[in-house]
Amino acid sequence: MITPMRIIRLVVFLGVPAAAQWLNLPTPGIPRTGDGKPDLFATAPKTSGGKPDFSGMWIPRDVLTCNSQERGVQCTELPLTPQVVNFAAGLKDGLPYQAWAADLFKSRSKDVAYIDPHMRCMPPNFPRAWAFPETVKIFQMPTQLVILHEFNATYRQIFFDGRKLPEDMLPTWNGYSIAHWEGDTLVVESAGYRDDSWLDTAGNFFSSEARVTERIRRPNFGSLDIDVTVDDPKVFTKPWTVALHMRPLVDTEMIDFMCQDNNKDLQHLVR
Amino acid sequence: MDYLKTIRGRLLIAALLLPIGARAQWLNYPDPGIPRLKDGKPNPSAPVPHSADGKPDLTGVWIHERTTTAEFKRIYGSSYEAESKAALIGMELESVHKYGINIFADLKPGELPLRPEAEALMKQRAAERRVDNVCHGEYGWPVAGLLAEPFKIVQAPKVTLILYEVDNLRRQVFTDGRDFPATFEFPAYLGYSTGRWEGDTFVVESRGFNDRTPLDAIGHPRSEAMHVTERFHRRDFGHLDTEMTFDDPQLYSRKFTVKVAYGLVPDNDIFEMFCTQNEKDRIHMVK
Repeated sequence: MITPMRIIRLVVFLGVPAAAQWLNLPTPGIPRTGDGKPDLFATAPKTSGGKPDFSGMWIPRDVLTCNSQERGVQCTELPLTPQVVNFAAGLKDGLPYQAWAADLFKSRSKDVAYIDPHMRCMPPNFPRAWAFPETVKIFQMPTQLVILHEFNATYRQIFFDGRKLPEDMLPTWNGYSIAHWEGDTLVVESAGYRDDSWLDTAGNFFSSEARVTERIRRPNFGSLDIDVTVDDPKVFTKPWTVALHMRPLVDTEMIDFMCQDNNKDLQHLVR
Repeated sequence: MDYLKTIRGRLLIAALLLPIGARAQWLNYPDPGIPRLKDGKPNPSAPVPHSADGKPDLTGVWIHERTTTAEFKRIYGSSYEAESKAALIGMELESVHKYGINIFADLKPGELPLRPEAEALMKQRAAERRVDNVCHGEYGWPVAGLLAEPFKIVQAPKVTLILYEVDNLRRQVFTDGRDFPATFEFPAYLGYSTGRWEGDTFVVESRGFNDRTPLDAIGHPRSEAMHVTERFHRRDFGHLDTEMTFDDPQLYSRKFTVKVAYGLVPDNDIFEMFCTQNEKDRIHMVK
């Protein structure tokens, strides 16, 4: 249940200026329509190796409507996505939790805003971080992706240099990611997550047993589609998949957002 | 020097921040792009690699060359022994570069270029310092490159990325020819950076910093007026020579420069390290 009060807290917490220092610097080399706007339906760019190039700045495409019942009083401030508040949005029956996991998820509901790691400035963990309202910026190099995130000025690396996932993984927020190409789809496989990372503000979660597959496609210049599949036999009764959609940001630049910078929310949070 | 005692808390925090991620998961992952000796070990003396545009390629994982024990003893005198005894294994003073502790480590007290404003800020912040918020406001740039963790350079077209293991911070150094804006509406922790090549040296200019993190562990401050010029020169495959020149006329009476040599960390990578993660130190800390 997403109450208006919770959403207000969420918005206060996530309330980041989206503007940037090199705010109006035109992005060179992108397809534009006759009026100078980015041509979102143009062909996706390719690398010299002939693969789709995901490089660029991206932000979630789908946002919740400005409805005070859903988003609280500050609904005009930020493009909050359905997946921010429920990573399983679009799944008719929600996530297929095992009984113990369903109980844990339910137990979080009364003080969810207080115990959410994100509220305590923990890292922007993927796949959750795809849905945050801050910008991600992808650099596609010949043997790896580097994904920068505005939140805490941090990054994630995805390797496709032929390495395998390590056998013994120190648990991390973002896991360890390798990838390979299947046609024009980059298939990213990740594991080695922490047990205490969340998927959304509702308290959905997976465990250190999770294997996450992200199938990333760029069907045209203006679309980045990511199918996230989570296979976690410790928490769920079966694997599940959600579809995320990003849109490009051009003619602008990222700006650092440090969560701990003058964070005064924590002392006001109540259970 | 007595001031070592006054900064012991800061050094302790530095030590606590240090040793988390470096020993790790893709440790010993052989990089096929590394030139090797007959015995299979990386050859640090091999020629500098070049990118497709013909420039030296700085891409790689780098860690500063350790400040020697003799150098620390020279700087800290009799305090060194007490400090080193207090250190835990893997958290020795030498794991941090001397400039990460004190950017003016080479200067005598009478040579320091601090304006009175800088001295006042240091005193004020030391008094206001909150031990219950150890992960905030202490470590940003340039400290992130001078602690015990490595950083990684990824030389992409039009941008060179510098990824730090410390708090997984990162910088974008734009090499697309853009100029700095006339003013910085949002001064940033890691500033705004542009880069250019002067021969085989990569020259990075940075402006637009905020004034919220210090230049070193003992708290030498910076102002929003700070302008930094860094020079990166890859001496050979395994060595990267850098220098940083700080120009902050609001707080310092002259420019000052430090030189730091880095060594390649082959067959390895940077890993995840966040200070706020599972942070249990603060409840045990005292002023």
